[in-house]
Amino acid sequence: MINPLIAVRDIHFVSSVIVAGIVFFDLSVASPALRTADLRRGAAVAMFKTRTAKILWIGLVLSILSGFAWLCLLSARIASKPIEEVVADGTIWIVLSRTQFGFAWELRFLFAVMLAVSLWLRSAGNASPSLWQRFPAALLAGAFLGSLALAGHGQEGLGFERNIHLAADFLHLIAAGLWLGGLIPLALLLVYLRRFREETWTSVACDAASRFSNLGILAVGVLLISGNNQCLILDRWHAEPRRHTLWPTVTPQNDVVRRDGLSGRDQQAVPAASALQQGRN
Amino acid sequence: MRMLTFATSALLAVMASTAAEAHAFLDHTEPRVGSTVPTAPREVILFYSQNLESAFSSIEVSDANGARVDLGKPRINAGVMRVGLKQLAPGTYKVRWQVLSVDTHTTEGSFSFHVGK
Repeated sequence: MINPLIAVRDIHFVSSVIVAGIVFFDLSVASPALRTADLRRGAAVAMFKTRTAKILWIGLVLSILSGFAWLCLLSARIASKPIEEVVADGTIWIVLSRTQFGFAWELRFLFAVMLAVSLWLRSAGNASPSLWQRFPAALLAGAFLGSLALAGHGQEGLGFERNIHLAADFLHLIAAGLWLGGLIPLALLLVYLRRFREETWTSVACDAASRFSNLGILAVGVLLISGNNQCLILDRWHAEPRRHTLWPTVTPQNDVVRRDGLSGRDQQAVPAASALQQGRN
Repeated sequence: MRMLTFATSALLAVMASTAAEAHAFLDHTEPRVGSTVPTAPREVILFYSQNLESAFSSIEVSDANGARVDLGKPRINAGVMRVGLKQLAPGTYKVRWQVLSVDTHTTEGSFSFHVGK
C-alpha cells in the first residue's frame, strides 16, 4: 500500500522541480537561443511559450497544494492523531510555528507567492521580457526548490557537518531542477520547432540542445558530488548510532554490559534491553 | 509528442522514490545508562545525535512505584534535553523519553539508573 506521506512528498518534489526547471530553462536556454533567431514571433515559439506557461502554473499550484497536504499529513504523524483532529485542535499551527519544518514551510510559501507574482507581472508585461525581468523569477524558483533542503535530511547532524549537509542538499535540488526539470521544456521546444519547421529552426534547435547539454554536464557533476556527499553522511549517521550506542541486544534486562569499543562517545555501561530506542516512523 | 512522453516518463521514473529514514539517536546520558550514582542527581541530561524540536519532545522520570520524580517540562537546547529532578531517595529510577528531531522523525526509548550504593 502506498504511504500517503511519501506519495505527497513525491508529488511536491516533482512539481517543484518542474517549476524551477521551466524557469531555469527559460533564463539559460530558451531566451538566449531564441534571441539570435528570427523565430521569436513564429508559431513554434508561441506554442512553446503557451504550453510551458500552462505547465509552470499547474506545477506551481500542485506544489503549493501538495505542500499543504504534506504539512497536514506530517502533523498527523507527529501527533499520532487523525488529520481532522490536528487541524481542529491547532497541532498543525504548532508544527507550523514552532518547528524547523514549519519555518521552512512558511519561507517556501512566501517564495511561492513571490514567484507567482513575479511570473504574473512578467506575463502581463512585455512578450519578450529582458534578462532583468527573468532573473528574479529564476532566483525565486531556485529559492523555492532549494529551501526544500531545510525540511528534510539536510537537517541531519550537528554543527559544521550539518551545514555541509544542508549546503549539499540545496545544491543537489538546484541541479535536479536545472537538469531534470529542464527536460520537459527542452522536449517541448524541440517538438514544436520540428513540427512548424520555420526558417532557421534547425540552428535554433542545435543551439538550444548545445546550451542544455552544457548545463546538463554541470548539473550532473553537481548531482554526483552532492549526492555522494549525502550518501556518505547518511551512511555514517545511519550506521554509527546502531553500532555505537544503545541498540538492543538479547542480553537480559538487568545485565549491565560493558560495551568497550562499541559504546557511545563516553563508553558508558549499557543495560542493553532497557536502553532500547526505536523510531516510530 | 513521443519525445515529450519519453522525457516526462524519464523524469517521473527518476523521481519515484522511497523515504530515506533517519532519527535522532541517543548518544549518551547523565547519569549514565544503567549506572549507579552515590548521590542523587539534580537533573537528567540526554545527548542526541541531532537537534531536537522542543514542542514535540518529552521526558518522564519515575521511581520504582511509577511515581513521577521529574520537575515537568524539559529544557531543550540543540541536541541536548534536560529535566530537573525532585530530591531522590536511594532506589532505581526509570527514564522514558520521546523526541522529534528537526528532520521530522520521532524516536522513543527508556533506560534506568540507580541512586545509592
